[in-house]
Amino acid sequence: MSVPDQELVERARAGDDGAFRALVERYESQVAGTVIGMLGPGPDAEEVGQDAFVRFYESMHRFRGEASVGTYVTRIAINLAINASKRRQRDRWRFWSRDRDEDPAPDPVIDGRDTVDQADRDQLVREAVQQLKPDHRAVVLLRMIEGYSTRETAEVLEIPEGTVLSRLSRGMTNLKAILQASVTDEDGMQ
Amino acid sequence: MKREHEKLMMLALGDELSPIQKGEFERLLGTEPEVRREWEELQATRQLLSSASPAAFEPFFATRVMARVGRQRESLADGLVRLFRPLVPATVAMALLLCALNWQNGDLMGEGASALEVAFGMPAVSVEAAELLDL
Repeated sequence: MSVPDQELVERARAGDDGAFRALVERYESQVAGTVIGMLGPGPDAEEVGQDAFVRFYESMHRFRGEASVGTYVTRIAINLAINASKRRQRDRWRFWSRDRDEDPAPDPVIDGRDTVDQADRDQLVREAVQQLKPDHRAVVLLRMIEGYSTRETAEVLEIPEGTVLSRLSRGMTNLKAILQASVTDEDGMQ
Repeated sequence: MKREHEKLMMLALGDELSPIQKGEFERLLGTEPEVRREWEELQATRQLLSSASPAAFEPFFATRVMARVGRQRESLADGLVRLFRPLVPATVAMALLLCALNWQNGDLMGEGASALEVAFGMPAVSVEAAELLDL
């Protein structure tokens, strides 16, 4: 039987690095889903993922177990990812005027096969999710991809449940429009 | 679309409708073609989202995290050393100054005081002095 989270936290607090490593390994995939969903795969997501665990390590003495370790780490990760995402948007806007005369980045290549394979579909979904506003993206991600309930999503993001539902509605409606536009583009290319 | 319909649809997307809300939503789908169309499109979007492969970090993520935690700890210790290092010469100078002052006033310590006692201004403790203190 696996060691309970609280016991691992106690041991990690007492300086047992092995216990902390076990917690990292236990929640790595949960944090990966959150930060890669928010920022896309790459070095930014890796750094935010590491930051989330380092912050958890630093704040472990304050962890009282009111929320589960998974919820606690995910809350840290999603807040860091939202901040990174907003920073990225600001940087993009700052450099937009400088770069606008250059050639635009090529659109993602989707070849002319009849069925879009899994890798293409993943890319399509990931890029569509990336186009949502960070606050909407966080709710869509936690609620629709990571499988958190409305209450849990509200708890992680520290917002009311009503706000979760309204952001989910805006996010899903926008996502639907983005995906429809992508599929239309794809059809046009064939 | 009405706000209430929107709320029902979002709860339905996550299978969170109560039995009463479920009945209400099914009636709505039967009577409002616009809501039904929206619902079908949202379900297709949800299916696309849930079919995406789970995201993962590059291998050995935990090892990299532990290395960062180790570096963080070392940098904290280094930070404390850096913080107090500039105070070392001032502290040594202060101690030497106190020793010199104590040495200058060494005659107040009495005849039997050793050099160390004089330098640190420690009074010599004798059996007679201890008896006096007891009184």
